Amino acid sequence: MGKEIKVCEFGVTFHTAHGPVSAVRDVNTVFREGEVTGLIGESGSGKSVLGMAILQLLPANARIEGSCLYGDTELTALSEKEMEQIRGNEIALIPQNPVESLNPVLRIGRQLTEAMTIHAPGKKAEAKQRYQDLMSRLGFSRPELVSRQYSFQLSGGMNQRMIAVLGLMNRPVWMIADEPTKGLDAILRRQVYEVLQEITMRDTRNMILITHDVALARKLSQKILVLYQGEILEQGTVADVLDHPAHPYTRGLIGSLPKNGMKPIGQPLKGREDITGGCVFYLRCPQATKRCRQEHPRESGLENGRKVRCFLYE
Amino acid sequence: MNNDGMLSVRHLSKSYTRGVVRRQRVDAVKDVSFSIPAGTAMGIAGNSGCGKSTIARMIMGLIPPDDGAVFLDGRQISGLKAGEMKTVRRQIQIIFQHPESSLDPRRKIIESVLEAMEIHGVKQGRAQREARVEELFEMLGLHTRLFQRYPHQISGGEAQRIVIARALTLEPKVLILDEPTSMLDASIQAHILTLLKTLQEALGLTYLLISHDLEVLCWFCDRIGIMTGGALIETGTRTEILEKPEQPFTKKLVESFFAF
Repeated sequence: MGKEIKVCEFGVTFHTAHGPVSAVRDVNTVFREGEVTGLIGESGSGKSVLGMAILQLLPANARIEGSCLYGDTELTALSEKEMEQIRGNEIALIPQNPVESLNPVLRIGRQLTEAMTIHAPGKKAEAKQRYQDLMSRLGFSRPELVSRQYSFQLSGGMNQRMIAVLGLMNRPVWMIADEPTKGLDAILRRQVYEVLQEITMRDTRNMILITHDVALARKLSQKILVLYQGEILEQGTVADVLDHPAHPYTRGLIGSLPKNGMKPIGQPLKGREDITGGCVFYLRCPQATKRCRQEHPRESGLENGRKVRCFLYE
Repeated sequence: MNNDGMLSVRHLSKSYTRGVVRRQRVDAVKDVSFSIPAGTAMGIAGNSGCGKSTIARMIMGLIPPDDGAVFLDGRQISGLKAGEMKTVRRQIQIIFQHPESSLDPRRKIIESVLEAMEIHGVKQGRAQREARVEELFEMLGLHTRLFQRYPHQISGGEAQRIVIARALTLEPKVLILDEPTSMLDASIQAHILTLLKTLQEALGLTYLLISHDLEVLCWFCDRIGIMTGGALIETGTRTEILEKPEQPFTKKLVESFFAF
């Protein structure tokens, strides 16, 4: 049975004291097996919310709309108890901010064991063997020693690798990595890249990589989704989206990278500040027309399975 | 090493002790000297924890150096009394990595920006001061309706530009930029760094940019210094660092960065 993740008319709304805030809207995509899909976009674009919504790891004031099929299981219809069987076992997460994701008062070994025994009580010995193997593979020379330590005794790079070990404990079918290189220096970033590459080569090729690091997404992914203000503006193969971006926003994003000369995307144009209801990129789009101001563009299909949400490609 | 740059540091050192039972001495910064000519930008790169930010804090007088001295336009500014340091602070400003912690969460943006001008006695009266802030907001592409907002109501990119605007109200000669864009996205980073470049040309500013992003440093800076373990091990132009790195650590850093 195929275990692809298919989301249809998927959205997330937060109900706040100031009214509803729509964080992700109208997402239609398939995360295919055997493929790393990179989710790129600015902070606040909704990429982490989309990833966390698949795992239903959202605050209590969040409402999920639409459908998220995992194989033939509708994840949005599952109870919390059933969802617990999916998380970690089937779809695992490498969370943002490793230090905050590890418990500072429990030894590393206990946390790693717990990740397995919570799903399969009595597998303590197996868990120990598993984490020792994984730790050696991910570059820990003395797993026995490190497993008796606490997270605060490890360096940032070691903690980052440790949460990858944690995610892999139950041999998940899918892996979601959330901003794995945020705030890391060049040397640590390369280490993280190597760990993720190792995972895709030996553990699972089914991965969703959430990142603002376009270079990392290019190296690891086969497919790219570009998010902006909660909507996917462009999706397609890495070569199509990153080398020949179609949507004006993707073009701007690629052009703003240091190696492409750091040309900034325009700021909201004068007189357009208060416009809502049209295209989400209308405020900053250099190619916007009158239609973009009033009408909300739908995704247009191009060659090679690429989809672009822009009237230029209708 | 001479002191004739706009900003110079000579033999700057700082060590800390850590541990309770077994006290260990950690050299955060070891004998660092450099000089930045007026109107140019110098970059410092290195791994996390190499002492980059400690240098920035010592230059600003936020922590006292154990040894060595800091010179601004030929005048020694390290070891000054608090009152004397106040006049110096107007000339040298720092932008931190997390703009949201540089703004008071309980005050409106405009109040936070005006406070710096009031403390330093820049311009007379609120109207004149507000007019100056409006000019700077315009220059940085910020809308004046942000004046009445609180820090939690604005984006990271806006907050960082507001912090830059606040620093510029004091008409400083030197800006220390400590990882100013490392928590921001590529498009916002490009916007802020391009603005800072334009401001440098318009106002003749001198910059010290601390970053772990070599591509950013190469694009922005005239000279780049590489730090590891508290020591400045190599300085050079963009070409020297990228194409002819002398130290093994510099080579490793360059290789790691361009492995992508």
